[in-house]
Amino acid sequence: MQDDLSEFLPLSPAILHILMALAGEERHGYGIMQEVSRQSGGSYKLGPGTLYDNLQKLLEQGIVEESTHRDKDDDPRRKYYRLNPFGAGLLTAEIGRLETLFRKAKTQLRKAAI
Amino acid sequence: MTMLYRRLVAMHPYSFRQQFGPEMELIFEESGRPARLLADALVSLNRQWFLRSRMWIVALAALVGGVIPFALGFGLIRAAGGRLGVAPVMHRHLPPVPPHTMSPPSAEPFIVLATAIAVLFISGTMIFAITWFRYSQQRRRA
Repeated sequence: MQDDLSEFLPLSPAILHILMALAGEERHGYGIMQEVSRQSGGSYKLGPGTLYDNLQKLLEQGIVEESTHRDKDDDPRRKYYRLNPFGAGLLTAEIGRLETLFRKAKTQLRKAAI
Repeated sequence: MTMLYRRLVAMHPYSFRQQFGPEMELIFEESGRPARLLADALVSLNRQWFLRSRMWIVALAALVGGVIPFALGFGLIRAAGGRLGVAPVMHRHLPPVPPHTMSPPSAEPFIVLATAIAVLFISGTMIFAITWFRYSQQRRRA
């Protein structure tokens, strides 16, 4: 499994944000855009073109899947997306990779400060 | 603005606009930043056609197909320069050959040959690139 995941790592910032937005619950495109903006404190904003370009890739790679969920007052053009178990594993692996990286960076900085 | 955005969405590759086009239009209607979304759609359009659909391979093949025969034709004409009546630079200091001893052949056959090679190369590389492009698209769908 780890070997399967390593070919997808490291994730691009856009993909990392999309997966993080979908980690909590399934969302539609506009919901993902709003969640990404909220998570980053407004410093990272995805446009629909960038979002769907990455979503297309994630769907093809089997990391994200389309959900059948619909709210009754939703526009019929709206689609919901969710993270599947493989996608959740990939996000966990990327967070682990980033944690290791930050730990190493902190150690290096401490050494530099001495 | 909405019409322009719809046109940009409609210019995306078929599979992309079928899957995401309606939702992109919905987001445009809901969002209050049309200028930013128009720019985003333009970037997306380029990315979809030139990166995701691998059309850049066809464009590159056309470029290579154009450059190779041009270089070949140029090389041919340069190599036959003296015989075509166009003296190469390094021979300029030599005394001119009397006109009655050597008559330069016409440049026409060389130009025809270079053009034929160019046409063959361009068509060959384009056919190869398009066939390969279609084959890879089928494999991706499978």
